[in-house]
Amino acid sequence: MEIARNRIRRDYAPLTVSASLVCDSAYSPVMQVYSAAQNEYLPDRSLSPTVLRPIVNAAASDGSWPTPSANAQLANMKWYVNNVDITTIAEWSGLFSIDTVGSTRGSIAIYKNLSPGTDVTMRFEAELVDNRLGVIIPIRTDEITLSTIDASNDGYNMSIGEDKTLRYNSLLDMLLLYDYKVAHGLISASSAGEAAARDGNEYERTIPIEVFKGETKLTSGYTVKLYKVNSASSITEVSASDYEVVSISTTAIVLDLRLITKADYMVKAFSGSTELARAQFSVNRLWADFKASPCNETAILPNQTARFDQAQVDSEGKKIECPESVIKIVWHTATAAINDVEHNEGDTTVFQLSKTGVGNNYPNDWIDVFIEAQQKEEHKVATDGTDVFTDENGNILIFN
Amino acid sequence: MKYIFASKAKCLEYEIALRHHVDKGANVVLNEKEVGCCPRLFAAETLEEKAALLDGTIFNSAAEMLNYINS
Repeated sequence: MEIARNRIRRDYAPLTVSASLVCDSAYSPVMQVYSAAQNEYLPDRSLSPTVLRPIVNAAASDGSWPTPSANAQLANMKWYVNNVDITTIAEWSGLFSIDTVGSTRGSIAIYKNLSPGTDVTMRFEAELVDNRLGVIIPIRTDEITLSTIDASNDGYNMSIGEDKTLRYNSLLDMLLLYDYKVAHGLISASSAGEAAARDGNEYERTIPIEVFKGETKLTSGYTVKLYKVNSASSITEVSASDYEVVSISTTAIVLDLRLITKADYMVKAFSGSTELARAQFSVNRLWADFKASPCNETAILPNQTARFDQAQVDSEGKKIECPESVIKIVWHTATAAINDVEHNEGDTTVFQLSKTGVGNNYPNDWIDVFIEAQQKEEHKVATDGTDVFTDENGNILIFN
Repeated sequence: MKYIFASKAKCLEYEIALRHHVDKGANVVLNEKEVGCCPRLFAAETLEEKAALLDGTIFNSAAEMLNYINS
């Protein structure tokens, strides 16, 4: 007797994967300085290694991928120096180590001092094994440049005080929260409150610029221009319509990171029309993992007609205050009679029970209250396509 | 650049992450920038005061630090 057999598999959503590189060692950044006068690298990587960490995140729309951070699941990890596998380069032998465990799996610690005036590009590649679907997903990050400035000759060079990659996580932005609270009358504006909100994660980020001739820091005699890097061969000077640029001076550039998701910039110093020095940096927005859940777990009273609820949002073990300022929260209900009713957007909700379809008998007297939440994207300037809208003081209005 | 040869236990007490740091025995190498910017050490003003909180010894150059470690 022949038996007909069908193999049926679980149906999983494909993975969405992102990969980026960050420098984890602020005390030993990707840019190193060599001082011939002291015959010393600042810092010396053999004592203070530079640590680069790939951030690999994965998610499935059906929630079947357990954790966003996928570093621990990486396989066949390889680091490339100027597109060459680092393990095959004799001069790098014994001068790096790669993490193989935990959430920092894939991180590389670099103990090698580069020759003065040189730079190399670093890139990370790996494979992410998706056992749900039985596929292997190749991972490849952007490149990050390690460089050593020779501060011993009389050439010009530029140093930027920030890391070459600025990361912005709106969930940690206390200045954004301060602005929101002031705008909604929750607190009064104060210079002390604003100052306290500037803890290094704020959206208004100052990038200090220093121009050196040899080892002498210049204080005058040059101008600074900022460019957007469009591609490896194309840059465009920022204009008045690049609203994310708050100010440019010879000592600092101030950016509004609320308006940026990902961008590359180049700073150039000029004497007249002659370029003296340049430096490049990137801005990346971090999409941190968070959990949003309704708080009200009380039962429905027999004569109740409306119901209140409030969202609690946590990220990295910390409760997010006023989450609607950074997260779009949409309230829904489901009952035996109506599977999905969308209510309002915001931290809180008050909905009429009659709208939900909740019944009066045991099989149908229940409501599932649930939240649809996603991080808000970058702010955009309010415009009708021709004019930019401002408040009565001329401040440009932005929304997200 | 100055380097501080500090106690690992003290570093952990002051929430300095030690992953990937060069170490020797119960001590670890930090550079002046790392110690100077440590938020938990802001109560101390000078590098010498901060190093003392970490039971650390200050070395004035990488060469001095390397000599000590390799000795």
